[in-house]
Amino acid sequence: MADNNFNNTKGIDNDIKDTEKKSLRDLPAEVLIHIGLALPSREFGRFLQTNKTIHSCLDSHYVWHLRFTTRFGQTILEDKLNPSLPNNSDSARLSPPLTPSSPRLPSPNSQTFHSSSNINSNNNSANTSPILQQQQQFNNHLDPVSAASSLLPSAASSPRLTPSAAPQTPPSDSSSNEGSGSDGSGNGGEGSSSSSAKRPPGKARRIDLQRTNMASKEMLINIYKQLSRMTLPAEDMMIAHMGNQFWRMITSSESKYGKLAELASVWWMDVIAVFYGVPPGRYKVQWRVKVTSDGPVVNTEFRAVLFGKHEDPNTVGERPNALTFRPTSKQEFVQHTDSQGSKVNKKPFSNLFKGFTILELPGELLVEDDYRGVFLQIRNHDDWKSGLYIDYVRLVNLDDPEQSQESLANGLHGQRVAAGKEPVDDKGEEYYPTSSSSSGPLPWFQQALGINPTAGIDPRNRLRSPQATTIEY
Amino acid sequence: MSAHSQILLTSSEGTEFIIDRDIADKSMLLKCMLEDIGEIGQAVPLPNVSGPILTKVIEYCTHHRDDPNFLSANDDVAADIDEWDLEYCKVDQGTLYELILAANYLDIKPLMDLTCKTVANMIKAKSPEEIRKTFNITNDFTPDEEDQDWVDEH
Repeated sequence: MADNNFNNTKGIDNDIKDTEKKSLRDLPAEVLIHIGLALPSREFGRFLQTNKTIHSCLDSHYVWHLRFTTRFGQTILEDKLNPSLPNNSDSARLSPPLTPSSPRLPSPNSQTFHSSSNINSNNNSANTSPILQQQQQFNNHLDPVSAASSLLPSAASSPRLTPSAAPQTPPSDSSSNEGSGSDGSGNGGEGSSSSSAKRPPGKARRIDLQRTNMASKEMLINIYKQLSRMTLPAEDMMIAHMGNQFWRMITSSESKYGKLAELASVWWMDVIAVFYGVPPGRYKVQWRVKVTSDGPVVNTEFRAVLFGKHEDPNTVGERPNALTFRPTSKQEFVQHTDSQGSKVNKKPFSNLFKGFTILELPGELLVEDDYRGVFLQIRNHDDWKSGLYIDYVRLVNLDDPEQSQESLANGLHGQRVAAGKEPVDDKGEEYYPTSSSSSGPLPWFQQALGINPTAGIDPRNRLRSPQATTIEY
Repeated sequence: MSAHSQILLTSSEGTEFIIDRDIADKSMLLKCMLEDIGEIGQAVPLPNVSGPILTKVIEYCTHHRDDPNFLSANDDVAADIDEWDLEYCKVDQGTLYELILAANYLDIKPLMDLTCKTVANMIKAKSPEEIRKTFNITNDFTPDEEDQDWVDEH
């Protein structure tokens, strides 16, 4: 918007005279940092490439720490870093900061948090404690019925949402969690549920950089990138009863990410996806699902709740919904999908949709004033249901001219799906975007940070192996 | 001290400005100074702020005089810029820099946020070369440095 002022021809001469007096580079460091905080990652990276002074000022651990906490708050970073961090909201002092090489810290390249992919990777690790493996089998929340009969403390009606294994760790297990973290396998953050349980529910906490200054810059950048995604695959959702005979993750070429969450049969259906640091704007919520029976969708609640970036998503609970959709019939469900089917009532679900469909929740999700977290949930706790496959969930930014075309309300989405052009390529905000030109400081930056712009990070790449099971539908 | 008492400010050129106390309190620098030493009855010198810029700053503080959220905005760098603030920031680059420096010196965080956000919006969607051109930034990376493996600061 302000660019118009500088595209004005008459203003150019004045601008030249004025800029001869002062350049952006000459502004004080605190001002450059302030500007840097307001930039998304891609623009931030480009800004760093303009000048050595700007680069040395901004490409620092402190600034990245500020950027991270400004956008995502500190709760999630604390949970990631230190499971035994004292959670005293009145405490102004913390134990001495750990060095980045502390064995208690997870590897910067650790697996995605609260991800069912940890099940496979960590179960294969010889260093994973049995307790941790048991936690990861129920990677996410438990329903109250099964929790009451298990050794682990029962979960509240609202699922736990720690970025690590959700079930609460019994006090005697904390040492084993630290032990598993000390092997540097990246599991150090998995046992944070005990610290999360102590956090005052619903209380926002201010940023205190001392709490999380042990996180390395590389770690901050990696986690920032992960959290900035606007699309979450099923692998990164929290699904009750995942990993046993009720729900399972399967490899499938039908998935945009290579893996699907498959519902075999369950009574307590509860799926949660959490987005952090969502920028202000208007959004549509879209679930890519495949439905083969009425059970998983009729009378199922699809809800969206906002929470503050300084708040613990554990506190969402039964907070008022920002968006809610509870279809009472098959027809009502289909009306909010990109299905072109007719005679809904007579056709079974398997004939309604040719494979996967996009369900777009009615209404707009409005994020105002500041970055906020978005808590999405699919829940139905009545009766047995089966026949649901989940690929991903995403937030479509209606304020972005390009992205808004993905909204079903625009009527263009169906055409794009039919043409096979449905774009799903969200790896998070790139720090140093690839450049078509090999000249300039970009290659130097990438090399210094160990970034290989040509390396594929498509999750499907790590799934493809001779033994991978692929189910064709 | 009543909210209606007045404060005298002097710009770098010696121009004097009389403003109400509650407007002066928008600047943390002035607020703390006046709280510490009281109303001294003399002009408060601001050697780092020129007359035209001080005029603009006073205009901003006056407009936001009754804004209840003026001092509560801490880290909402993502908040949208409202219409009046957008128009306020439609100035030449030199003036924008001076406003940033004045906001920094006077410790007026909302004005600092606004002006820095304005600059950030000008940076968006630009390549590094376009950013250099817009803001008159010199590319001081030598060709040799582009090929070197600088690892000391990483």
